Amino acid sequence: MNLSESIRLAFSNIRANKLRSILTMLGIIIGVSSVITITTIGSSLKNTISNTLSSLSGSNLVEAYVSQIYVESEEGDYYDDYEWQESDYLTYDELMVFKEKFSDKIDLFDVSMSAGEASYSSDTGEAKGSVTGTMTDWTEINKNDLLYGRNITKADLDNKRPVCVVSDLFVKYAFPDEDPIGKKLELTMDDGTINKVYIVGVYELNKKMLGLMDVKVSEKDLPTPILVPVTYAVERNPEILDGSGFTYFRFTTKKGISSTAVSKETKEYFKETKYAENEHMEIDCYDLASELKVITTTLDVITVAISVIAAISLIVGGVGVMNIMLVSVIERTREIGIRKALGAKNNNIWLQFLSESVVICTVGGLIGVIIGIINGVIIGKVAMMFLENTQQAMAGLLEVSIRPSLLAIIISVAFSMLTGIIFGSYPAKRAAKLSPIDALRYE
Amino acid sequence: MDKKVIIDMHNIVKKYYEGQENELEILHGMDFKIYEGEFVSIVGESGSGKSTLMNIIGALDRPTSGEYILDGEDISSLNDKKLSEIRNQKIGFVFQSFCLIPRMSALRNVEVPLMYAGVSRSERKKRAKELLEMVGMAERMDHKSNELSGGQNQRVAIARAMANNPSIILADEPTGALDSKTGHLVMDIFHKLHKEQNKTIVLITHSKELAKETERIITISDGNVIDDRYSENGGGL
Repeated sequence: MNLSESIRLAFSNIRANKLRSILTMLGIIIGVSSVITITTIGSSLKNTISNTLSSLSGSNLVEAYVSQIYVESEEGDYYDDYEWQESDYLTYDELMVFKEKFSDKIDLFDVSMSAGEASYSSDTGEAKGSVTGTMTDWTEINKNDLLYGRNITKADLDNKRPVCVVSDLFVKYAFPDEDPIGKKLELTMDDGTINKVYIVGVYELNKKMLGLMDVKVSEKDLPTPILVPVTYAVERNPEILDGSGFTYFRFTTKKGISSTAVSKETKEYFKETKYAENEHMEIDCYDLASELKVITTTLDVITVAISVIAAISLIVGGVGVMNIMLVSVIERTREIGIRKALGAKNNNIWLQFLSESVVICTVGGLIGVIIGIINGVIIGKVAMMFLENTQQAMAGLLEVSIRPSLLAIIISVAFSMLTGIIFGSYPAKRAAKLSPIDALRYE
Repeated sequence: MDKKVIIDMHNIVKKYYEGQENELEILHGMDFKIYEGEFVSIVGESGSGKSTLMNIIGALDRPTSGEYILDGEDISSLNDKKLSEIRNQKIGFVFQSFCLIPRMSALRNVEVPLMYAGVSRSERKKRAKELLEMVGMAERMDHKSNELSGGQNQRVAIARAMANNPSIILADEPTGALDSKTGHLVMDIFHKLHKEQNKTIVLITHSKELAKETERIITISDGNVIDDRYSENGGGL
């Protein structure tokens, strides 16, 4: 009589006592299903956050800021009283040198400077926009597809051309029935000045971007970005620069190149060049990958912590299994006696009862996994429905991915089996040790 | 005496609570031999040591002292594991209360000793069917114990006892729970096994009437063999 024989026997005994077996499994089912529910929610949350952030701007995005060095002291870190000098700001040329230097690592590069809101009004229609000084890669870095025309080019930048790229939404209201390419746009800025630019391209507004904007206004009044060459914007209105130069730029790294590593290199590069003699300033880099890592690690820790608490109920379930197995041994004392009289060795009896407890726990664990996944999916869907009803903008932004954690499933099932072994071994040992004479005589 | 000795009991003593104040000696040095193909009954009143003797013959228990040679093998001091093998291979039990496993079909019950003997699933199913046919229970092999009458249960139990073709069949009051008619039917099977297959059968009973059906009667009282003779029905040596 081998293991497979014992397992077969265990299944037939479990089937013979269906109600009791299910009740016995209940503790394990509840324990495992709670763990799986929690880990499913945790891993879904993690996937949703990272997918959402990646869909907004790619996970290899690095954002760099000119910032003042923190002064560390015993009372806490602080910024000292320092007035930014003109030389602290980055110039356009310095950015170009940097871009050139890192050209083998950097894929897309952009500065994005708001030049204020503008409105357009003519016979053809009315629309609003937010004039943004950019470089060549803005549409791509923000995941907006160019619908027609062209992007801003290097030549536009070099020659400070008065051109612009507008959104499909802008076109829809400004030029409902016309081809916008080549149209001269007279924009009235906030401060009353007039900007005349030619439309060279139209991009499709990434609907997820809407989520990030103030959607309380109607689509028509939405100030979608009107992209102009940053060099042109600066020339027209130097005020758009915060101080007297650039304080911000961003880029994505090429495929296979770690954005976290390039972040560090960028910081080093400016420390050794621009700010070599400057003890007040530095470049601070934020890369989405490491930000994501912080978020996902935090979520992981929370998930594991709650799961461990939930797993305690598995021990309670295990005690329940042990209790029933002990009762079962007593109930089946006579059967044990008969089996021994017919030639069962102590080991056979031991294995039979242990198999039964392990099978109960494993089946309970598997049922728990299924219930847990169903729970997780339902909770995820309900949460999404709730979000859609209350925060439509956020809901549109989310890339929801409900995904149970495979690792948690494997660990839970393995843990259930272990519970079966631990809490089944004592009753099994008691069964095996029964003397055949006493067992046969037992009524 | 050229017949093969199957059971050789030599000076078998069984004590309980050995070395304690309430030490109890149940068997006081029993001596007897049972030969191959004999149909023997061991008769005794209750309290005569009958059950204790049965446990020893059936390798369910070990004697405190003395030698018990079963089918050429000294089993008086074997360990539990070896005793299990002996019970499995050499002894076929038939109990007063049938001792079938309740939730299992007749067929599965007969398969149990074969399973512990390590016989393959297909092989043991085949053998179990043959055995049930032999006792006339083939049509009811899928019935569970509680769906069968007492006589039918006992026939299944006999089929099970025969599973591994044991050296002896040890029947403990096999008709005790049956009415006289079905009791006779069961006894007929034993006679058939004895005559047709030359099985060694040891019948333990308190009933002198039943004992008379066998060829040899060993009477025990108070832990001693007080009489051992061949009955009128028996063929003798």
